[in-house]
Amino acid sequence: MHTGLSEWSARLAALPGFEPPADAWPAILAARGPHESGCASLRWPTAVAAVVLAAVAGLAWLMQSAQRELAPAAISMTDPGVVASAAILEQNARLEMLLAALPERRAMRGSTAFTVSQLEDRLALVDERLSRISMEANAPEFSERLWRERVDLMNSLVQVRYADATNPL
Amino acid sequence: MNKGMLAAVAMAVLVLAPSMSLAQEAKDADLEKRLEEAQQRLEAAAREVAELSAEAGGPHILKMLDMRVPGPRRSMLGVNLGGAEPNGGGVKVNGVSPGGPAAEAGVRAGDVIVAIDGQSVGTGRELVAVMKDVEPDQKVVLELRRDGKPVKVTVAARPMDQVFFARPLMGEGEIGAMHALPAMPPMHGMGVAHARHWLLEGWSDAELVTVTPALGRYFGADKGVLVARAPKDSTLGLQDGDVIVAIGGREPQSGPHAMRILRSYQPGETVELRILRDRKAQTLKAAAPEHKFEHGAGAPVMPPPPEPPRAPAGPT
Repeated sequence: MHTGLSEWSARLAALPGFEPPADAWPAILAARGPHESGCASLRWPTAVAAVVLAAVAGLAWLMQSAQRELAPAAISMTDPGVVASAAILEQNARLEMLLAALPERRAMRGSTAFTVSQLEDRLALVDERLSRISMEANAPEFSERLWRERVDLMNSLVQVRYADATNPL
Repeated sequence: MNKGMLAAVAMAVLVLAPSMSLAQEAKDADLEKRLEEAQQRLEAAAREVAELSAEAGGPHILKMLDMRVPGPRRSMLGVNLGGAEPNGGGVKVNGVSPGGPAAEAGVRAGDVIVAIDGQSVGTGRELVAVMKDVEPDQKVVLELRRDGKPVKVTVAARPMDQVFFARPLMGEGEIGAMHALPAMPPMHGMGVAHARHWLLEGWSDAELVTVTPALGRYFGADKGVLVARAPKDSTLGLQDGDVIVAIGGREPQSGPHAMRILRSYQPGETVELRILRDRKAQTLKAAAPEHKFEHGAGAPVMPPPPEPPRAPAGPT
């Protein structure tokens, strides 16, 4: 079961007493993410529906914006050392932009943090291999496969981070 | 409407309202549970993608790379390098690994690495050669060219073994094999056994919060990870409100970073946490728990052993 705002307040109230700085509680709320700072009496379904609607609208906007802004930062087939189809590289660039646009979450459940770290480590490993393969002239098929692998991992990471961002802790 | 009817309606509202409220709460709880289950399924699928990716085409690629392009094995920057710039002008960064050391230091795709710790790098091979001497966790200064302008960033190189530990627990991967668990022997009548990482077993419901300077003032820490909800696994003795300052000497920067460090511990290895509790420093130390072995879905359940024969009836 997720922790509610009241449980948070109770936990913090139970901590040993001392004079906290005036901005401590807003900082905690900020660390919990934007969804919990609203009206406490908001019912769950309404809140969830609002969050999901806003998130879906946000994602749609992000997707469009990512498509619009792809060109300048995207890796292209003409870049030295890059051997992969244009479709894969475009997909990779779009996912990179989506990930960058997702809000930073300071609070995370253990299982989500585990999954994110696992995916990020895999991506680092794939990037390390891609770096080394870019120095190898005779391995276009490996390069394509590694780029596909990277896109699969990025897709999973975006999904996990997106679900986490739209689901109050 | 007469007074009698009004009173009856009011009574009905008073009687029904609590039960409606209870029904609404039950519905909310059900929705919350389903959302949580959906997120867990999504995360499980993502972890499967991560584990499978280690196997997909991996062995061939790595063997080929090891033979032809010996690369850094001890530490990494977390970048996807492109080719060399003309006239030995550096190495282009095609991409930055999310959550990696270069990303944390602010390196961007499109940057050109021109030097590491003062040593010029004109090609990828030169960069690899420099990185061979970089120790894990060592901080290196990258001199970059960004949009034609020089930029300097400091990157804490990450140990490669942390990346290797991300490999599947039960696979036959090509790297880090010494860290892999031995495969569970097949058992008659049972499905395939899978290992569930000790962190997923005991830390799934934990809640970890990155300590910011403002939040840290309350807890007496300027950095680290706040344990907002302690893991159900009590092996390490963490409590709600503890701040993890260091894990085995490494300072966690976020929840995923803490998990990344913890994942490098194998069952039985001693995990040492430096924490702040009630604003006082403490050290918690314990052996990492065992992974949990479970059998795959659809595996037939072993029938219960037959009951022992009844003792023969005594003489009547």
